[in-house]
Amino acid sequence: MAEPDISYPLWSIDTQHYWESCKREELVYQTCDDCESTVFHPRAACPYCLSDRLTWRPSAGRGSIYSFTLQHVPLHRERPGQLPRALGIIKLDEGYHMFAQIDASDLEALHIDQRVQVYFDRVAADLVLPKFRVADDEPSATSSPKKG
Amino acid sequence: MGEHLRGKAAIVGFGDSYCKPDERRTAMRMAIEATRAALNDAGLEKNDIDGVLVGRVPSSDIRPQWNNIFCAYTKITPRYSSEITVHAAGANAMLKHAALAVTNGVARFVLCVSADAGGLIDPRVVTAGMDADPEFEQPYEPIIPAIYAQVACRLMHEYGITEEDFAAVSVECQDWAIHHPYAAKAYKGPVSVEEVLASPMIASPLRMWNCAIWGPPGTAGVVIVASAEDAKKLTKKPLYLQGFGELATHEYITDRMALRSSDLPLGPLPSITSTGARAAGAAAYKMAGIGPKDIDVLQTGSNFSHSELMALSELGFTTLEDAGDYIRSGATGQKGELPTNTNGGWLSFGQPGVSCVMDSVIETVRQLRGEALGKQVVDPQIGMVHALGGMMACQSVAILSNST
Repeated sequence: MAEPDISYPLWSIDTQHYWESCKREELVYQTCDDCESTVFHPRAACPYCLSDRLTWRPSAGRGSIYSFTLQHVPLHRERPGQLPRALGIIKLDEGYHMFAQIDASDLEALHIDQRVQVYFDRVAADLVLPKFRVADDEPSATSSPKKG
Repeated sequence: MGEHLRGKAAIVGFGDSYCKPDERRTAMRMAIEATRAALNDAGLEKNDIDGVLVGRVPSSDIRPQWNNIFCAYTKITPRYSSEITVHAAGANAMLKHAALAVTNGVARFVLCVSADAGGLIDPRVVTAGMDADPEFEQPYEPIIPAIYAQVACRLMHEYGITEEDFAAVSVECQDWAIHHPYAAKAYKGPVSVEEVLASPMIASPLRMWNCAIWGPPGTAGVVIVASAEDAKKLTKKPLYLQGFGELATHEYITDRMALRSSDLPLGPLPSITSTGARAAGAAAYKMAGIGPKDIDVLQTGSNFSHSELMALSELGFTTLEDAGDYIRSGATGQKGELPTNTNGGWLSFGQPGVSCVMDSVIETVRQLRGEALGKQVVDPQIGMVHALGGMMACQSVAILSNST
């Protein structure tokens, strides 16, 4: 069997709305109607109170870099893609975290707490991946390390 | 918790099997080689075995119910059997499950098996597919080091840990590995901090020497667990199971950030710089009735340099801020107070696949029995095995000793 040239997300009917929203270039998350928690990743029930009364909400797609790496080695040798590329965990302003690629004109200058903005990469006709790029118009939030 | 089990079960025999760099053998073949050796060591017949546990399914032979596949292959018909998976750390947690079984009349002799043969597959692709979130991480095609690098990046930010601290672990592990006949990186000889810092970047801040090597091409380990009473009758060299601890905090690294509160000692949440090892270690110490100062030899999860720094800290030997200095002082080396990763650890002995955890168990058994294949620690009496599974997800700790 030929290696597929795209790593499709293993979605389910519980998360279908998230991926359909991405196709419309909307980032969405959930909140719990019972305990009011912000819920992400998208799922069938609130992980905190186990209620299944969840409401989809639009996210502004703005946040800051929580952690990141510059990946220099491809997962699939036969289709390396952009190398190095930044992969990180983004803290969205609505209070949830997601993993994504981060684009910047100067990858070496990326740093924790840098402000980023979502964009939507049309990877294939049936797949739109949310990615982030550095928001040049927003100053970084200042935060000092806890220790050291 | 569990104090009543202290010293009530013991390892009565062990066996191991290793591929040399140019050898290829299947996980099943190696598991059976190790089983033959373990039965011989314990003085038992195959038909004496009435319990069989296996660790996480080999990444080179992914078939569900691998415990039953192994039993059917060897025509063992157990009355107690399961696959124990808290990720690969399940191979360490098997000792706990086996102890529970033999001290409660559920089984008398439990064969604990783990094997893998990474030399037969492309482990980079296979394991990334298993350990990255298949829906929310995998589409971005991270390699495993890129996932662990998220933790390393935060450790530097929050605790001021440096690349030199990461390098200290790589140097220490290599210093042990060069003495071990099957260590995958032994042929490279000793390495210096400068060489580690000059090695190619894999996923910043992790360089090649900060990442475990895939290899040896295959390993297997088997231990047989029995009650302490049976152990005294069977063998002059029982190893008593003194303490166990385990904690799983998440599956995928990003989803760990959705764990927002806990009653357990996980520090401020959400976070990816704490693990369940602190709670797992505390439980094991309490059950064993000892503390960090009593440990004579230690194996930690060390798939990446920072994994060992975190384990040393959370298991009570040092703090995160001081962990680099602790290693540079020689404490974890051959003349130190806490010989650590004495076969070279996962970093330098290598990761043949999921059996790397059993390699740590077997190294502890060999050290405590004075039968190390590499550098033998002088007369250790109490050994600790720490294993981590998944993306810092599952933590398992076991304490073994030569006497009750």
